[in-house]
Amino acid sequence: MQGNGIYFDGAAPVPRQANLAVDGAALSITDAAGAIIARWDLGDIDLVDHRPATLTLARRGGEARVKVTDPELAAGLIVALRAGLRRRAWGGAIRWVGAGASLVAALGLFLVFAWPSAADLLAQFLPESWLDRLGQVTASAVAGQRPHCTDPRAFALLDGLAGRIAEASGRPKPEITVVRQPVANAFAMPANRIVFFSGLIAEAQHPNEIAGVLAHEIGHLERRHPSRQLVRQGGLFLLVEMFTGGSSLGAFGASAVSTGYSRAFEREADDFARATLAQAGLDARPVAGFFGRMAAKEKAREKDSILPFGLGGSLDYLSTHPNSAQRAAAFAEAPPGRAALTAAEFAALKGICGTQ
Amino acid sequence: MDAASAGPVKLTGEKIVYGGLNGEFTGIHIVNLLLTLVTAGIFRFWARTRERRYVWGHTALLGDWFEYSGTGKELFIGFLKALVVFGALFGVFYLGGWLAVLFAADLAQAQILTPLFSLPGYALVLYLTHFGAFSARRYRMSRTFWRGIRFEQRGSPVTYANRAFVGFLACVLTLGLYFPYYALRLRAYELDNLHFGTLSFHFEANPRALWRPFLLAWVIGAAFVLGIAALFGPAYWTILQYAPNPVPPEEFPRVLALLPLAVLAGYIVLPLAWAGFSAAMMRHIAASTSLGGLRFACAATGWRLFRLWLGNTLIVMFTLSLLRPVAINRSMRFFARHYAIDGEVDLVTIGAAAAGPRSGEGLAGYFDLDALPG
Repeated sequence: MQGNGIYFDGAAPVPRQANLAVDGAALSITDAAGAIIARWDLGDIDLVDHRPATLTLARRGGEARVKVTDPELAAGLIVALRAGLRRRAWGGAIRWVGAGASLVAALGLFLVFAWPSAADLLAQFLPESWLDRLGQVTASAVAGQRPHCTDPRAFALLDGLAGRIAEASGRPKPEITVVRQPVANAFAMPANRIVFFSGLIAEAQHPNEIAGVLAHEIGHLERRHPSRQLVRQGGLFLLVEMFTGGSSLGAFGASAVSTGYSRAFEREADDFARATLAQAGLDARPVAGFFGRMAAKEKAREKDSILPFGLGGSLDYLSTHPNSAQRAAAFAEAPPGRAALTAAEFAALKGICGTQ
Repeated sequence: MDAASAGPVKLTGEKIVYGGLNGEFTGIHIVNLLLTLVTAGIFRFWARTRERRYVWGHTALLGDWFEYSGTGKELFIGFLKALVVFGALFGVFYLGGWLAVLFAADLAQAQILTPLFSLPGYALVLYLTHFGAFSARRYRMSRTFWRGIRFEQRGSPVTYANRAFVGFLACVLTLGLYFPYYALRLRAYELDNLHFGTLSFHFEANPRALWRPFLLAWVIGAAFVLGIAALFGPAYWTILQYAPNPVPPEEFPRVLALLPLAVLAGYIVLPLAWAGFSAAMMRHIAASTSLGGLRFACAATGWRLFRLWLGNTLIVMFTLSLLRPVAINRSMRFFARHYAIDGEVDLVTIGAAAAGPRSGEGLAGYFDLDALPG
């Protein structure tokens, strides 16, 4: 098997006419006078380029190149070289990609299965002063620059209700902030803080709906959900930052509380809320009404939304508390009890933001 | 030595030839995407290598294809190195920011302390981006062959990053007016330190030649930005009042209905203005560059550059980058069509260059910078 080609010696970019011949397991390259320029073992040859008519070859690790311009020789050489070339081209890749992908997969498995419990453990050892500061930071991130609602009589009613519910569960009274924000939601923050959006108070149709939300948020506090969530997401965030080379400290606080808790966390908080309301002798059934209205809204939104996956960019109760219908049913089966506030007190509470 | 190939080669309006095919290249790209997906992103270094081999291997001068000899393994190892060193560095800034929050006396103090960590963090990213871009260039050039001779990018990434960093600050301080100097100084450092084998490129530019096209682009850009600010400023202020929560529907600024229109106008006006300057700069850079006795010329115009950009943007956007190879091919054909080489060079006098770095593109891989246009 032999034919014409061009030889580049790797020392200067000058083409040299050459005769190429395969003898045994080597490619021998000779000049026009028949003098040997080089002999390359077939096992040592790398394929640089393969076009229908020409083939460019290199001796592995070297800079000399051979361009096979004889189509027949090119076709013969590609067959002779193919098996070894393919093994080399993909062998290295499979080993390294395999190792890399296994590492990423192991990391993924760790994050899904081991990290939540590890983060919970870690959260237990966070000093009280740190939790307090984290609470301040996330509260200010969620409340933004919005004014607070501080009508003295209404605030005393809400604060007193929070105190009664906390006492029934044997917890210290949480620190309550009401932010003027026409969106129905409430958030639990580390270090025993609860932030209410005024929209939730405006939308409530029964005082026990507010009691139910308070008890639910106190449930999050009792189970240390806010700090567990912060550590879980903080670790994830750090990892993502490291892998992507970004650096955005600010967005984290708000995203940790506003992306919502896992279903398990919500169920725990709901169970706690029903038990605590019963303990305090308060009727939990009106809370079902609140969830019922939320479920209706949820349905309406699914129908109206043109965006997939509920991407509406909203911060209301639904966006952080899905599955309203199921949760309503659980509250509807609660035992009867008293109203949390009198009708007059409830009317007073509605004026917590002053004249709106 | 053959008589035909010995002695000086004379080029007259010699063009680079690009022969990449859309179907073939897209096939490679789709396989790359699938393998990248199933390997949790790890394959992307091999994907990038396969892409470059295709593009380099379909670009020819004087009938001989260029060759990319880099490997995915080299890119991957470079990435891991960058991950260890700079991932740790970012971890320090990230944790430092949080520790500042946790140990500050109160919230007000925390708000002062956090930028002390985040600002140097941002500065570091800016600095390292340029450091990485130059290191990546060094790697890529050392893996680029033509007729068995490799290119070599000399020069130091530190010097380059210093220049880029200082130049960037100067651009900010002069509201962008320093940009032509900044861009040409960086190109000068790249090109003056570039070698093909032992033959060195030379670059001698005159930034003043770019003043007129740059000022035109700058004035159009500034007028557009001021117009947008006047139109949407009040609405932005309203949103800021509620941030990070959404604005309630009754207070939602109506002018925002015009936003899609403004974005669309921005996609036309700004790139068009910029393309005029970019083309002038491409022509100036080509005309200021020489390699031994060879001179370069570029015939790109702003309008053609804009059409290239617009086409590529639409192709990538509407196919979710599935047809990115088509955009790359368009850019390469544009490059081949608009550049020409003239002059004389004695190839025999060119020797081989040093082998270059052993692993590749650490930081550029880390920041996901890519060499290919489109």
